[in-house]
Amino acid sequence: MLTTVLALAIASGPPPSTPLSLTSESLTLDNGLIIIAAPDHSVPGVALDIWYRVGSRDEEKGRTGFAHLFEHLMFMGARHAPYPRFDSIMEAAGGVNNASTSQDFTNYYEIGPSNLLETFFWLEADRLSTLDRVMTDEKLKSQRLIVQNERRQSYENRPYGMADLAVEEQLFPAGHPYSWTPIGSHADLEAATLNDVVTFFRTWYVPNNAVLTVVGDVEPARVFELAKKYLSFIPKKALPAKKPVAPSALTAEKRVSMTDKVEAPKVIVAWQSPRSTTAGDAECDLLASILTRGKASRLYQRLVHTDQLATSVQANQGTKELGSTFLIEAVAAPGHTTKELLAAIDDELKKLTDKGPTKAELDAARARLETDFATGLQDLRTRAMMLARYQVEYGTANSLQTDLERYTRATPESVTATAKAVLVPGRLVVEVTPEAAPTEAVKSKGGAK
Amino acid sequence: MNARILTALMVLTACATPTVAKVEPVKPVAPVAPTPPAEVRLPGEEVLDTQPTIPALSAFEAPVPVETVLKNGLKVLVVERKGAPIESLALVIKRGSTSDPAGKAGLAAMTGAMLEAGSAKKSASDIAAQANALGAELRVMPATEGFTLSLAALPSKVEPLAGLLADVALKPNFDAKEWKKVHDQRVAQLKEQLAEPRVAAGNAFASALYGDGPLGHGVFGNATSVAALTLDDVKKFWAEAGPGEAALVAVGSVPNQQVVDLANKLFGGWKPVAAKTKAPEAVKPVDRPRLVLVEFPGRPQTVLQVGQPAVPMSSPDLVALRVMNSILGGSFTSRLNANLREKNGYTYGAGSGFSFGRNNGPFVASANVKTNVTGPALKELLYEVGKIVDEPLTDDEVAKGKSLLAYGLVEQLQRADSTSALVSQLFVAGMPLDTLKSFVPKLQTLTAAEVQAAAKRTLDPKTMTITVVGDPGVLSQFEAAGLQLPAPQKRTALGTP
Repeated sequence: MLTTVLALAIASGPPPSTPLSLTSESLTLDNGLIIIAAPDHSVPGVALDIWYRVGSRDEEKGRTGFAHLFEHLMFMGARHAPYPRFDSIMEAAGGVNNASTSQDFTNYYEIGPSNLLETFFWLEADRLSTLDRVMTDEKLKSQRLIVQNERRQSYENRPYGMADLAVEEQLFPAGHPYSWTPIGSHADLEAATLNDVVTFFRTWYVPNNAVLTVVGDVEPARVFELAKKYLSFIPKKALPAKKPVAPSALTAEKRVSMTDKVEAPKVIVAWQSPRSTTAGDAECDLLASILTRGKASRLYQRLVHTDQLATSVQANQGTKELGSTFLIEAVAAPGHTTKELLAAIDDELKKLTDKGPTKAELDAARARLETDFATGLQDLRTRAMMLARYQVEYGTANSLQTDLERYTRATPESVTATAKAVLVPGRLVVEVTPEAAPTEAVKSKGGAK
Repeated sequence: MNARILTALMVLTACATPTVAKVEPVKPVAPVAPTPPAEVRLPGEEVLDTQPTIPALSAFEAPVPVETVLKNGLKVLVVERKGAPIESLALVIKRGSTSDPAGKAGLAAMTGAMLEAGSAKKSASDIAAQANALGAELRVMPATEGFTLSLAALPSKVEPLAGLLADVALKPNFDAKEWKKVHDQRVAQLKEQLAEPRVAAGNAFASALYGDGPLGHGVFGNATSVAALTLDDVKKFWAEAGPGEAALVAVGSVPNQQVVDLANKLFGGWKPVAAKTKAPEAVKPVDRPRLVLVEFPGRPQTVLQVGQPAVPMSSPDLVALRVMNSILGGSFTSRLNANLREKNGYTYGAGSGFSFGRNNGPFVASANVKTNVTGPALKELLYEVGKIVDEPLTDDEVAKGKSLLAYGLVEQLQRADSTSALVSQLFVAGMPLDTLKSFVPKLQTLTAAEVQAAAKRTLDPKTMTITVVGDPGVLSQFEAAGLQLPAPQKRTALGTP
């Protein structure tokens, strides 16, 4: 989820007249809640996004997965709209919702016909002010089962899913707030108590820890009026200091080997990389694009097309607040090994850090990002999420141009310098090999080659 | 990261809009907590005592694509949207996996891959670099009854985008060396996928429902069928596809006339082919098994899929069935999700959907459930599917389904890619161009009785095929759950018996 948002939000390019724009008006209520509004009368709809600055990094020891479990509980009913009315009221009128939890943030949204806007405010205000009063152990138990099923579906029963968790857990040292994953462990999910839920809510779900954005068929004045009416009575509270972060760089290569119920070996190489919006973060996005985006990209050409060592290869800058993750992953073609994949990846990385990308490669990467951005601007919800993210990351929602400039300013030299600084020997290598021989079906009927 | 609901659940609702239903709690839903006796209220909280009213909504009218037919038969379908930041161009051909000749499952998809692998004397890498420079990526999307080549970028790039699209479609290199690479890669990827219970479930379900007919295999075929394909198969397949069964779909701010002019210039020379070469698509009823098992020992979850062949998009029941689906499994508060996820905690999400097209694509209700509750979960799933046919729907549920479908359409029409997909699906299924525009008015006239009648005409829960993918030990749970099912027909991950 987060990856999508970031991919849409990164953008830019030197094409002289970027026609892209995203502007809004804002208001901060006395209780610290920031309200952002951007009208768009071309669609009879509205999107409301509320972004809380709390994520899995804020979890207590022995409670991994809690921020996400809590996110589920936000739909289990509050004082005025008991379960399941949060969902049934809005769906009856054509509205839908979802939410997601990352290491840094928890994000909730509602979208629907614009006549639902006041109802959205009422529902959000109800849960932000009264959720704890009507929380029960039964609600916690019911969502815990669902989240455990989510873990099984998204990781345990998905090829290479456990390797994805291992990357997150191993790249940062034990105790670092990113050394556990938002989905958490079964044991910790089972350990969560009703008291944990109430405490977490009272600590983090306060108006001065949130940004609420509305985009759609409504004037900002009306948005601010509704915000004052429904949300200004909720008192602000002192927020705890965020956990201190110990220095965490890997000084040498760290290797993890694991087996999985898969048909082909896979290698994942991960580095710690510049944190969101800091120097080098945009370059890492461009670097990922140059390495693996599309069939002309360097690693696709080398690993998949020319040497045919891999059936797929992907790179990504996972942008986070305390430190990002740059990773490259490749799945081996039949008869090839993770060792070969890694050697070819390293060879290409060396070429890139030695000579840098061409101007044409960089311009193409920028052009793709500009299209991503324009694509995101088409719908109300993505715009609402982008505005909220900008508010949190840059201190003002109207930061599109600032964000774009990070990419416009990048040069082949700055990308090379970033590659040299990030793609260092201190890295994590996760190798996954098939647990058993290929399935009977494949042995007897599989490819004739 | 981790979302509350998996949006892929909504994809099950097939081509059109996401949907909904109401939790008219069938059986008691999860507990509603009692209000504490001495409740402390915040000053000002009384504003929450009154639920806001929901005023009437201003009317929304979906667009009708503007159609122009070129001399060679190519249709140009344009949805123009002033000021849109993105222009999407898609060439849609009415040939998908249903056009794969017998024994050549995956040919349409491989043909798409070869179009991307070089054209107009340019290599695959040249094409990709050219697209990149425009800020675009060529997307080849094979589907059941058609496939799409598309590009999207800023509207100012429309001319070179269209030029690239025409090169790829009309001047493929079909180079033998590239073929070997693309072919090896596809076979390897198809083998990799066999480790996925989800893929195995799709293979087994399609094959059980449609046998070796045109809908009986997945869009990409399987490792065995694709391994047997040759470059000549691809050349022949593409030579038979002509402009008479294709459409250029443009969505964005470029005006209709400019798109038509570009189409004439770039696609006007595409030579028509004799219509008789079109592969027949005889989707015949087969003797379906009641219970199918694909063994994946030791898995933490079981993939359950329950369904049957349904009706084509041209069915007069189309709109009613969409409403029915929104109530049954097409939304968060649908009966299936409320029961299997929210009430029982068996799954992260349960849903249902149709695949409406030219042919009678399947209806499927599905969930990934925890292994040790597979029996009770299947029982509840079958209960909900049976009930939607056997018992009257409430007016509230039907009203909810209508509202969600109507706004779902608004939502889809915001984006160029999803709008293009809707228009392409209408074209491939041979539907009238005003289908989107007439959808909401048709919705509004439906009654609960009509929705149930459509469900009754279309679905026969007692004979639906149940596909179970996971640990074989779950079979013993079925009898314990009170389910009377025959011995399973075992199938491989390829879907074959």
